[in-house]
Formats: sequence, structure tokens, C-alpha cells
Amino acid sequence: MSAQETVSPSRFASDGGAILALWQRDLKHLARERTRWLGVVIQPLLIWALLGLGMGDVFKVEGLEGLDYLTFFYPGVIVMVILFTTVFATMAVIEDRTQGFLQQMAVAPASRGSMVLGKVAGVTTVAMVQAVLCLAVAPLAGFSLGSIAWPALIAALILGSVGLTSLSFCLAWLVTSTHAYHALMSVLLLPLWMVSGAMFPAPESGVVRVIMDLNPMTYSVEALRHALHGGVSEVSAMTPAFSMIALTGFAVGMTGVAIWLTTRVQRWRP
Amino acid sequence: MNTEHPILVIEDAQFAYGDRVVLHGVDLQVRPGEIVGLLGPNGSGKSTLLALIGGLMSLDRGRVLLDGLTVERPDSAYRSRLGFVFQATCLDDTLTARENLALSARLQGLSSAARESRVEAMLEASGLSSRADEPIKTFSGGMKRRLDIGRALLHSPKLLCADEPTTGLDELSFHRTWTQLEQLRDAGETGILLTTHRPAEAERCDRLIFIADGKVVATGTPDELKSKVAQDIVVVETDSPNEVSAAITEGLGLETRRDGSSVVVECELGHEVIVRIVESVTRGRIHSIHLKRPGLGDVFLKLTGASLDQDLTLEEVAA
Repeated sequence: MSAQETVSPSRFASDGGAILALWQRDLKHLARERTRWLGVVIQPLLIWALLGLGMGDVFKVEGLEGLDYLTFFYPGVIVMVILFTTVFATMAVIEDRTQGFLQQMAVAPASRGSMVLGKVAGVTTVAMVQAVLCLAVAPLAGFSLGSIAWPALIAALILGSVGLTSLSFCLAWLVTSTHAYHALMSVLLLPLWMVSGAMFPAPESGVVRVIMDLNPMTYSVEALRHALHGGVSEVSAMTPAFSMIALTGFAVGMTGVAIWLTTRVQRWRP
Repeated sequence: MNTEHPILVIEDAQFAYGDRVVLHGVDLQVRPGEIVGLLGPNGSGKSTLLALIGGLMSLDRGRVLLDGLTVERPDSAYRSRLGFVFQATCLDDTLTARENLALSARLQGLSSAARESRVEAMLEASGLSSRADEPIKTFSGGMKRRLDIGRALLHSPKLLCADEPTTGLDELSFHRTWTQLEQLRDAGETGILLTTHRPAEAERCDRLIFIADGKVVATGTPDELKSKVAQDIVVVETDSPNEVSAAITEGLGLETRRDGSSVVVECELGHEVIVRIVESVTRGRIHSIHLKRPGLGDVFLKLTGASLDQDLTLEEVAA
């Protein structure tokens, strides 16, 4: 086992290698834990089907009397799939820390930023795969696959996944146990999804409206709704451009916060 | 004695968790081609020192130089000289052995050609080539540890830091892991700094640093350190250690130490002392008495008053 000459890698090689390594790792996990990940898609679809059928008779939007709840609820379900995917995938950050994998990264030449970007890239790809599986039932929700604005839809999926992955990564970085992370999921992320316009349209005013305006998931739901309706949705509370700009800000800003957090908040202890 | 220029130099390292000081001005050096052991009980500051070398935490005072590079701002040049084996193996159970090494090679920024050859070399060195494409969740603890050491050596570091690398391993795995470390040492290019609280493991190091309460209390080769204790150790197993200890001290004028429920007497001509102890202690108080050659655990006990099996809390360390 003779040692060779130590070669210091370039920043590009070490950071690029780390991003690629973490991205590949998440894809391998997806391929080898298919049943687990399928559950992440099936659960929201079940909720969509049961709630959509149950609420069909009582759900009404003024001026859009013909709008079916299965159709209205569908963009929110895709966001739920993305949310569940990012939450479950970033929970691995906590496990990686307790089981040692993260320490390996901490002493490697790659920057902390590359660790975040690699994780975001991996989880976003997994979330995209999950969302595409979910889109297979779009015709049942009243969306013709031929009339969907696909570029806008893909952009909304990527930006939403990046933003939610980074947000989940920050939470996973800060908490010390998976139990605490589950608690955050229950008291923060799930309620935020519920007031994102996923389950009911935005009211004209009031506290709920303020929360919806501040809630980044709102822009994810609205951008997807516009795209699924072929570009512009009549039921949305904002324009497609505004929802997409806000979503971009959320994705970029949250990724920046995650990188900042990993460089400023040390999570290692012997 | 290895006279090469040290690859690792630590001077006056001090570190505290809040107001609890866990390292008090530690100095040490590691040279290429030597295994240096940090021997001390749990909580003595060994792992903290390794974490400081890894740049996982920042020194409060002092400095760490690795191949002339400071840990203050551990850049890629610093990190590429460092290999790390943590107490928990840094492997992904879902991946195969080869995939784990390939992933780590990417993290180290190795080129495509280097990656392939180093992964194969480390699989070979770990003795796992035949099981390279199996998920490591099927591996034993010893196999995972050997692979983890291979992982830490993928980029040919100048220094390998290993935090209790054989904890939890059976005897066979212990010896295989040590064979791997000794082969690396014999290649002569890498220095190895490991922590342990096992005297049997410390015996195999080239040089030892005894650390207790965050302070270096002794350094030397295992033989040099053992020479600090008299030729024989008599161990008396008893339920009444205080009474037995008093009887030996008062009756025979010999100094005693407590090691758990045992009373330890360091002496010359131990076979004669055993007879005198049995005669001077009340009948029935002694469960067993035996003679042994001094080991590193005895030296540590003599120098620090603490057993290596003792777990020190942070409060005790701070006190």
C-alpha cells in the first residue's frame, strides 16, 4: 500500500467532483430504494383522489362554477410530492451526520458550497422523477398532456424543487435528530403547504392571505397551475411571470442561505 | 528513531467548549513512516484534538501545521494532505464497496485515470477485491473498517488520522486492520496518528502520547513508557479494597493503587511479595491474587491515577 505523491486538486476538480458524487449518490439511492420512493408519490396521489372526489360537490370558486376540485387540487399535489421528496431526501443529511458520511465531506478538499449544490442537484433530480410520475395522471385531473405549457412546467418544477430542497437542507442542518426534523415537518412545512393555495384559493384579504403571500410554496403552486393550464390559469391570484420571478428568488435565495449556513454553523463534534 | 522532518506539528494547542477547557497546551509531532498513538480514557480530549487537526473546529490558542500548511484556513492543499478515519465508518451502506471508494475519490477531486487506479489499489489493499461489487450493508464491521481506511488513503495523504479505528472489532478484524496500518507505515511516506484507549492497541504504536484531562502527561515508545513501572505488578482481587490496601501499606510498607475493585501493587520480586500479602491480609478478604508484567494500562494508571477504562465526563475533564 505505498503512498503516492499527494496532488492538491484544483478548486474546480474538487468542487465539481463533489457535486457530481453527491448527485450520483442520490440517484443510486432512488434506483435502489424504489419502493420507498414510490410511496412518496402514491401517498399524495391517494390524498388527491380521495379528497378530490369527496370535496367535489361542495367546492365552488366564484365565477368558475365548472372548476372541478380534482383539477384545482392537482397542482398542489405535485408540490406535495416535491415537498415530501425533498423532506425525506434531506433527512439523510441528519443521518449522514450521525453515521459519519458528512464528516468525510467536511475533511475533503471540496467546499461546503459544493456539498449543498451536490445535494440540491441530487434531490432536485429525484423530485423531478417523482413529479413526472405524478404527471402521468394529469389527464385524470382534466389536464390534457398536449395542452400543458411544458417549458414553464419544467422550470417551475426545477425552481420549486431547488427552493424546497435548500429550505429542507437548512432545517436538517440545524436540527440534531430526525425526531426534531419530523416535528418541523409537521408544524412548519405541512401547514405552509396547506396555505399555499394548494387546497383552497387565496382569499381577497385577511391573515391567511398575508401568510399565503409570504409563503414560498404559494408561488410554486401558482406557477405550476399556470403551466398546467397551458400558460395562464383563471383561478390563480397572480400572473405567471410574477409567480415565476418569485419562485426564482426563493430558489436562488434559499440555496444561498444553505451555503452560508454550512460555512457559518459548524455541526461537527467528536 | 525516525529522524525525518515531521509531517504534523502541533504546538500549544488549546481548546474549550464554552468555558470548559478540554485541551491544555498540547504539543506533538508525527513523522512520515511512524504510527503515533494518543492513549487516554474516553473524554480525555483525544478526539477533539483530531477534530482540530481536521479543521472541523477552530483552535483557541496554538497552531497546527500539516506539511508546513496551517489549519487556520484549511484549504484544498491542506485537506488533500490529510486522510481521516472517524470512529463511525464514513461509508454509504446502500452503495457497493467500489461505489463507495469511487464516490470518495470524486470528493477528493481525483482525476478520472487516478480515480480508477486508486480505487482498484485500495480494494486490493483492503482485501476486498473479490467483494467489490457487493453492497457494503452485507459486510462485517471489520470489512467496513478496512474499506474505510482504504477510503481515507485514496488520495495518498501525508497524514492519516484515525479515531479509535478498531473499536468494536473482533480479534481477527483487529489484526487485519493493524496489518493494513503497518503496511502503510512500512511504506514510509505517510505518518499515522491514531487514538485509542486500548493498551493492546497502543503496544503496536511506534510512539505513544499519554493524554489525560486534556494534557500530555508522558511521551515515548511503548518500551520506554513501560520502564517507568517496576518489574512486577501484583493484582489483588477483593471485595474490601480499602481494608486490603491498608493492610498492605501498613503491614508491608508497600504503596498501592486502586483499579476498580482491584488493589494494585508495583514491586520488584513479585512472587515473594504475593506470599507476604497473603500472610498479612485477613483470611477470606482476598478472592484471587496474581502476578503480571506491567503493561501500558499500568503505566497510565501510575502516571495519571486514572484507569484507561474510566469514562471521563466533560465536567471531570474541565475540573
